[in-house]
Amino acid sequence: MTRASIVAALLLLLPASSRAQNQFSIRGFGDVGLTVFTATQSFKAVLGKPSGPVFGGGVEAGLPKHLFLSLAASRFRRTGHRVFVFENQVFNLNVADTITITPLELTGGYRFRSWGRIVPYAGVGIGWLKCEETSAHSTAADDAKTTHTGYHLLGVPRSRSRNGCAGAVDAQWSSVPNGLGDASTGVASVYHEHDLGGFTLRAKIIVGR
Amino acid sequence: MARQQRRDGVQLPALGVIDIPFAAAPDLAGADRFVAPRDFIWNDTDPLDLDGHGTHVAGTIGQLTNNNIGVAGMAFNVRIMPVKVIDSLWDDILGSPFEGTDDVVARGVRYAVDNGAKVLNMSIGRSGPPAPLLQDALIYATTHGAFVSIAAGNDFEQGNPTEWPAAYANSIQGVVAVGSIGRDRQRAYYSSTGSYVELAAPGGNQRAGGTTGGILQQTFDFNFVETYVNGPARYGPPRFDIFAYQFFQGTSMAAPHVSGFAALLMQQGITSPAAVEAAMEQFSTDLGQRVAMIEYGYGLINPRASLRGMGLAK
Repeated sequence: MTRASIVAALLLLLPASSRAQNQFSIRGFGDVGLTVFTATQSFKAVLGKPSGPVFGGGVEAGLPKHLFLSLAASRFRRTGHRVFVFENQVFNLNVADTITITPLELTGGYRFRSWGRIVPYAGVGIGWLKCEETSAHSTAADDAKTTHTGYHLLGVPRSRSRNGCAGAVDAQWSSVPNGLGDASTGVASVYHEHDLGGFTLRAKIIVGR
Repeated sequence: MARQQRRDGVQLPALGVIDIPFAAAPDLAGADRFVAPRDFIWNDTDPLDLDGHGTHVAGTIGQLTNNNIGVAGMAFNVRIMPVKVIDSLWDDILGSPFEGTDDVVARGVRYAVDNGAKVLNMSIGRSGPPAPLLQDALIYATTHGAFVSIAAGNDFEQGNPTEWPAAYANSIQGVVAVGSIGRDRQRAYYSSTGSYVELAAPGGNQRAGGTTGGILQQTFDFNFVETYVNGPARYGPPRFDIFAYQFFQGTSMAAPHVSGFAALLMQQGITSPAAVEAAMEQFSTDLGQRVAMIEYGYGLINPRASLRGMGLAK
């Protein structure tokens, strides 16, 4: 790495401005995105593909010293089919199976020095994830309703606020260890995929200064 | 050549592979219900049931439902291919040219497969030497996409001999040997045991449950079939068109539960015979006898669980 690039990287990591260090602000945001689940084979078996759209929103507090705290909720919901897996062959049983995943995530982060109109920042957080699975002709005992705790990392390039609005692209990696469990009636156990996390790319509209 | 017998505990030679009659009981018949009938005992295409065993077995597989008549079958909407490969007493009396030897049964298996059968019920079996012709036929069936359910045998109290072709089941994926349980969910006293028993299904146990401890299905009214039973004064021509609901017991009655179940799984989308067997075994109900594999195999069939299959997490 050249000296110039090292200097550029250090400049990028510097706080955006001294004025911003002491600002306190509240913003709201809504987002739409796409999640690719870590348990790719399991989701692909049941839903036909390992990814799907997520919708959400939340609030974000800008804190002094370029810190921020956000609370976000989102929702993934998709219907596929129950299956039987034998020797890596997936048999679709034509019984509708609906997966609903609702994460509530608390994130703390740091805003880096702005780069033109772009303000990059990064965060880390904890999430509480509610996972529901219900299928046709099921009873309450057949359905699954579980809550898990996970963690996540995110990085965000955001455009500077203009007239109280800003756009952002949010890339998040999350892990929910054992979120899929190891029930014998779950394909996750067949593929030994137990993490309910994944990678999510979101487009955000942020309102507020 | 060793001769096959039906598996309902009665020592009569009887019917065979998909040992089902062409002249069907009212609760079984329906439009386009029967396909490609074949009789290897009389070598024609009219496989008449002259015994009642096949009709009873066929009823468990596919008795109609929602018709306000009698009982229901496991797979009420399947089509049935009657293939007669075992001779009954009346067949013998009437001078049938063939009897239910291994080669006749094997020909029946191949015929059924070649004519599109996806599930074969074999409520038949025998003890004695192995039956390599049947082994080959069973392999032929599974490699051509047909699942086979075989009665495990009813000779537990007769020394529990190895039963053929059931004993081939655990070496061929897509072929299952079925043991019998009663209403008490315990192995029926007659149900043969061995390492080849892979699943258990209701077959009735009238020793534990009385007459009604058997499996109820529509078949012949035996007062009009077994006319030789009541003495010379009542001898008369048999009638094979008068029906009644009868309780039978035997692994012959257990096997068709599995056959009908297999048909449901295939309709549901599991098209590979080996996968059908795996789905049955994976979701079978452990009766607490996992140690007694030789009696129950993987356990009691659990159609609902198997047909629901697997979700993402549950």
